[in-house]
Parts: sequence; C-alpha cells; structure tokens
Amino acid sequence: MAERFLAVTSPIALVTRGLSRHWVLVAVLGASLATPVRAQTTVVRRVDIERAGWNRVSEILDGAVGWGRASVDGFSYSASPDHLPAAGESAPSMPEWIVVIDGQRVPTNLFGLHVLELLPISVGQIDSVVFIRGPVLYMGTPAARGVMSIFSRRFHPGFNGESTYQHGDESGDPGPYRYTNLSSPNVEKVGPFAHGDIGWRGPSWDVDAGVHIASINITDTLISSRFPPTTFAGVRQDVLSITPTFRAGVDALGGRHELMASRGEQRGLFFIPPQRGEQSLRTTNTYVGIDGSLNAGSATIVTYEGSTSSLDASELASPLAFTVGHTRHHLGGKSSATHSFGLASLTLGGLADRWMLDVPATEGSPSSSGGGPFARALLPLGRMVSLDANTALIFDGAHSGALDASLEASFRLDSLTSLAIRGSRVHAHPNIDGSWIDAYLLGYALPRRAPTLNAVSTAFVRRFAPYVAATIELRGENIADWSGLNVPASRSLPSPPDFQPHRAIILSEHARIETIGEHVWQGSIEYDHAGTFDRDAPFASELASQPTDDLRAQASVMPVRDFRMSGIVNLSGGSRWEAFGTANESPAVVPPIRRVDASMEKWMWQRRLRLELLYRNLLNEPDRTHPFGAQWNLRWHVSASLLF
Amino acid sequence: MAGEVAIAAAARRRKRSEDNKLGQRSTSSPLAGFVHDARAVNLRTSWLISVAAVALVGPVTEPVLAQTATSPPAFSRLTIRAGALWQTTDSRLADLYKPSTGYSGEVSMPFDVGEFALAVERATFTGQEPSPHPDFHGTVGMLKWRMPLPSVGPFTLALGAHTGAMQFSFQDTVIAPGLRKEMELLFGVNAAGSVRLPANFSAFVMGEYTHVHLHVPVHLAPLSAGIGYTLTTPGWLKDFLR
Repeated sequence: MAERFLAVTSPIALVTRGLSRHWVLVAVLGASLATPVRAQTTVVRRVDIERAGWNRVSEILDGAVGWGRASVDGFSYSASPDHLPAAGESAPSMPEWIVVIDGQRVPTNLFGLHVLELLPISVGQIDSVVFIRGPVLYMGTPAARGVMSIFSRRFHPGFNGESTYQHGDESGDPGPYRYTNLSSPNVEKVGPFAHGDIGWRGPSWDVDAGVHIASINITDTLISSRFPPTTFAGVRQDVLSITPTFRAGVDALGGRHELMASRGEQRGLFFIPPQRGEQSLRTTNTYVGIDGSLNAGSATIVTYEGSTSSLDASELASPLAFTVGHTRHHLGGKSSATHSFGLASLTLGGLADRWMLDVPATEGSPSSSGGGPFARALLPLGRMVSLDANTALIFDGAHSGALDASLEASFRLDSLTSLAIRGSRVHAHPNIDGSWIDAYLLGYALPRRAPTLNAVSTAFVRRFAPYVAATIELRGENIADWSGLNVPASRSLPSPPDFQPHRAIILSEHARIETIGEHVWQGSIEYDHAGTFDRDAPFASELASQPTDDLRAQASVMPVRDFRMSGIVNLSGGSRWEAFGTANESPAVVPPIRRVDASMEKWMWQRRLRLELLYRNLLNEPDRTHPFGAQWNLRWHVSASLLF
Repeated sequence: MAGEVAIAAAARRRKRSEDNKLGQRSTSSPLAGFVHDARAVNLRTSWLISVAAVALVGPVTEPVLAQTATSPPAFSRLTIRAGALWQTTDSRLADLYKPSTGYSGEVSMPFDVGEFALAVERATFTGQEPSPHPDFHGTVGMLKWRMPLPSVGPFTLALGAHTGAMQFSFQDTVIAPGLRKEMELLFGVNAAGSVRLPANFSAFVMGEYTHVHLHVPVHLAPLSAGIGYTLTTPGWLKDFLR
C-alpha cells in the first residue's frame, strides 16, 4: 500500500502516464487524503457545496470548521485558520491565508478581508476545496496562516457549460403590521447569485469563458444604525460583484499548460477592519496567470507558474470619507524541477514575488520584492512510513534570509489506520505576501520583527469498514511577535506600531467522523476546539475575538433517485471583540451561533437541470459573525442549475 | 470557560432585552392581548411543522418500496384543480383585516413517495373599522407534498406539508412604490379530500394551516373547494421531470 501510495503520488509517475496537471494535483491530494492522511486539512467536496446551497466562493468558508469566519455584510469575509485574532484586532501587516486555484496563487487580501467573489473561478466550476491550516509550505510557497486550495472540475468533451441562478429572501418583514405600532424595519432580499460559463473541450485542449454575479443588500439595521440617516441614504444599498473569467488549457510537451484570467469588480460599502468602519469602494481585481508542467526526460519534470494581478480600490460616489484609494500590482513566479529516484523524489525550485503600490496624489511608487530557493523530498522508509520534507530559504525585501521548513511523517499502522505527524516553522514575509501595503495605506508603521509561527500536529485516521472514517487531530502552535491593534488605524492620524509584540501557545483539537462513498444516507460531523496559553493580558483579549468551539454536522438522504434532502447544523461559540466595543457594549459581543439549515434538491431532464430549495437558520436564532455585522434571520433560497 | 459563560449570559441578556422591547411595544398597544413572543411562536411552529413532516416522511423513506401496488407511477398523471377559497386568520390579524373570498389553483403529480403540487391562492384583505388600514392582496405560492391514504371507494384523503411565500401587495398610493410589495416565507400543513367524478373529473375540499414568518407572525387557515381534472402526463414533460 505504501508503495502504491508513493507510486500514485509521484508527480513523475502521473505525468508520464499522460494525466493533466490539475488532475495530478487532485490525484496527489486525493491519494494523500485516503491513507495516509495529511495533517490539518479539511476537504469540501462538490456534494457538500450542492447540498449546502453555496453559490458564492466566500460561502464555502462555512465548510472550513475551525476557521473563525467573520463578515459585516455577508459578502467579504475574513477568516482565522489558527484562532489568531481577527482582522481589526490584529495589526494591518500581520500575515493572511492564501488562495490557490489549480496551483496558481491568486492575491485576494484587502485590509484583512478576502475578495473571494473576484476570483477567476465560480462555484459552478469547482470540484473541491481543500483548507490547510498553516504554518505550511504549499508547493514551495510559505503560508504562515493556511491555504484555501481550489480545484476546478472538468467538463465532458465537446461543447459544455453550466449556469445557475439563485434567489433568496430573509424572513421578518412587517407585513400588514407596518401600519401599527408593531411595525419593524423591512428586511431585504438576499441575492441574486448567478454564475455561468460555456466552453469547448477537445482531445488535447480546452477553452472556457464565464461570469459570476452576486448581490446582497446591506440595509440591516445593525449596519445602517452606525451611520447618520442622511449619510446612509446617500450610499449604495447593496454590494454587487461581477466577474468575467476566461480559461484555456493545452496538453503538450508531456504535461498540461493552463492560462487563467479574470477581471472582477465589486461595488458598495467595504468594511475596513483596521479602521473599524466602512468606505464606499469600487474594487477591481485583474488577474492573468499561467502554469504548467513538461516532461524533461530522464525521470524529470519541470513545472512553472507565473501571474500578474492588480487590485484597485477607487471611490464610489457617496457622502463617506474616502482615504484608501490605491492600486496594488503583483508579479509572481515559481519554477521547479522534480527528479524521481524509484519511489522517492526530489524537487528543487525557486520563487519570486514583487509588489508595487500606486497611491493617487502621492509621488513615487513604493515597491517590495522577495523570494528564494525551495526544496522538497518525498522519501519512503520501508513499507509503512513515508516522509515529506519541505524547506525554503526566503529573502524578504532587504532582510537576511529566513529558513522555513516543514516535515511530515506518515505511518500506515494497518490497512484501516494511519497516522500523520507534521512539524513546521514559517516566518511571515510581508514583502512577499504584500501585507506591508495595508500597513502603509493605513499609516501603521511595520513592526520591527515579523511574526514567526511554529506548529506541531498529529492526525490519526481510522476507517471503520466499509463506510465510516474517523479522524482525530491534535495541534500545538507557538506564535511569536504577533502585533495587535489597540486604536483604529488612520492615515491622517498615524497610529503607532504595537510596541509589545505578543506571543502565545494555541492548543487545538479537531475531530471528524464521516461516511465514505455513495450511499442512500451520507453525512459527517466535525468539531474544532482551541485553547490559548502563555499569553499576555492584551493578547488574551484580542484572541477572544475568535470562537473557541466550532461544530458542523450534515446528513443527507436520497430516498428516491434524483431527489436529495439534507440537514446541516452549525454550532459556533460566541466571541468578544475588545477593539470594537462601544459606549453601550464593551467589549462587543457576538452571540454563539446555533443554526440549522435544510435543503431539498431535485434533478431533472436526465440530470441536466437541478432545482434546490434551501432554508437557512430554521430556528431563527441570532446568526452573525461580527460585532458590527448584519444579523441574518430565517431565510430561504431557490436555485436552478443547468448543466450541459 | 468563564469567557464562554459570560458570552452566553450576554446573549441571554440581549435576547431578553429584545423580548422586552417587543413586550413593551405590545403593552402600549390596544392589541396587547394578541401579542405573543414572536420568536417563541416561530420556534414552536417550526418545530411542530418539522415534527409533522418527519412523522409523515419517516415511515416512507425506507423504500418507496412501501408504496402500494395501486400507487400511480411517478409523474404518470397530472391533476389540475381550481376552486374558491375562504380563510380565517389569527385573532390578532383578524382585528385589523378581513379576508374576502378568494380563489385557488393547483397542479399536482404523483412522486415516488406521495405526490407533489404547485399551488397558488389569492384573496383580498380589507382593512377593518374603526380606522381601516390600506387593503392588500395576499397571494400565496406553495410547493406542497402530500401522502395519500388508501382510497375508500371514490374517496381519497391525503395529508401533507407545504412551504412557499406570501406576497403582500398593499393598495397604498402614499408609500414609495418599492415598498408596496413584500414577500414572506411560510410553512404549513395541509389535508386534501377528493371524490372521483365521471370523465376524469373530481371534486375536492382542501384545508391548510399556514405560518407566515413575518416579524409578527401571521397564521392563516384557508379552506378551498372546487373541481379537478386528471390527465396523463405528456411524454415530453415526463422525460423532463425525470
């Protein structure tokens, strides 16, 4: 089995068998998730996306159990994979998690929020999403916090496409009581969310063009009440994003080569966590990236990746002050060569990133660059053990080189049981991930030392033949030199850096029980708990912005062919946000979430058409993730998907 | 742990505060006697409807298999019904509005388990004296699922649950046009009795209990009666639905 595992996951073996590159990635990951398992991963599959009724990429974050998610408007999200303080409680230059689509890294961070609706992929094109907690070296790239890795699905040969439209509405309108003293504010619709793409897949090439659109009203009183009425009347009453995308791929030179491009635009109020307030923004994200692999012969393959992107924030007319106008350009590249030695393999490569910032009415364009070599070795030790060692020497701007490394050992204890142990140490690299830009724009001086994250984790997987698997993971992380944010950042009133960088130890447990394979009944239950130790008092209050417990359980049944009913339970602990306290409530409190969702899906027209009726928050309990954010009542969605 | 307790306590305080606000509004109102805790009503009704649905669905999930040999195959026939509609509302709404006689229409089809129906109902709600509020048209669109009980001669009884939305169209020319329509989620249970008539016709009586999830919930109990006509589902429609 160990030989088979290594044989399957050997990139050389796969490429020489003529498989396309992103299927190589899927296969590598899939095989590694089977047995042995990778530590600290959560996988969201297509079936999870469908039964949860997610039609925006940011909604998929709901499936990342333990990644403390927060959003003011339900549109742009921040998330903390490792229980470190949320955006706004952490300083603007602190590292963020990264997003990778089919091996291409796509910048998404804007002031600690991730503009996932502007990604060059729609939900309809996604096969699976893998959430990996950091610190980790992901295909050579250091990711201090974690990785959201998205894999696209492949459509059938010939003309193909997909189209989905979803409409939603929130309950709680005043109805006929609007004329009485029982009147309440009107509650707006949710959506529409729509996406579609058409393409052609030939024997060795394919091309695809699509667009995804999403809109959400922001008239919830928890948002509008923070503005003077006349001011709020002058701002756009919804957030709208439109993102056209294009993809092309060709199989050549013993590998696959892919081009991905998009230009997304998001309009509306944008909450800037370090400022603890909104500005009215038109955000544009333009991305063009290529990646591929080729067979260099002699059991060697070469992979490459390169991308250019620009994220522009300009003013959308409104009475609000506008201070964060800028364009951040990113140019990044990576290349590596992998040589196999039997079942073992050695990868050597290098990466480089460059960021340039244009700020209106400011002379000069600040820029940064960084990069360095990386190496990876996959080594089987006998039949039961395999080692995966990664290291990267990163030169971050003018700083001297910092060594990031991870080592993962996988043990196959028997045919149904496996164990993985991972140790990793990764530094934050603000010049490589561009996080210095947020600090620069918000007048926050960069801390003298960037944070360092060290983690040890172990994952134990036991399969209870033949349908159920259980995973238990334990994790300890040591964080040093983390900076909080005591006062809101403002360019007109520069805030000092946090002169007391924090350190802490975070211990977490993660457990998952899930069914395997296709059955009438399917489901999973996943739980995450974290505790913090050895931290100073200010850091303890900032860490309280993350819920300590998170549970997600889902079950679905197909009582008859082409008809599925699902129920999903989300339980999450409450959180306290010291920095977002108000005169009425300090610290601000976000109540625990107890949400029950249910959906019904019916496929028709030989599974070309799928209709879904979805209810969220059936118990109508408080459902919000941010102290300044909207609270979502019981709501319903209807969606129709056409697959051809 | 202490933090969790504090957070939970704060959440309880917040909920009590919200409840109190609603209570304060209600005590100052002439409708005080009718006002209940909206959240509690929502929860209770959701649970009741869920329990009813589970009770109905539970015995049949095992296979469809349990269907009797006389059950028509899925999508094999189409029944179109139209009738008159009378409804009563909860007493809180009844003090403000009186529903007039309306009409209802439904298209139903057998499924692997029970039958599904798409239904529309519409009635005008008239503001009541002494200070009538603007009238509104209440239009309800529903997806229904029913489980027919064994037929007794020409008589059939089916029980089920439904969900959908109710649109309130206010006949109010003063407010902004964008505020003259509201749509709200509803859940409910229903029962339908029918008797076969010659030439594929049937007569039906249908009763429902519906909870509309407004901020102050509304409960409707419509009763409709009329004529139905059953035909074989066209082949193209059958293929489409499979």
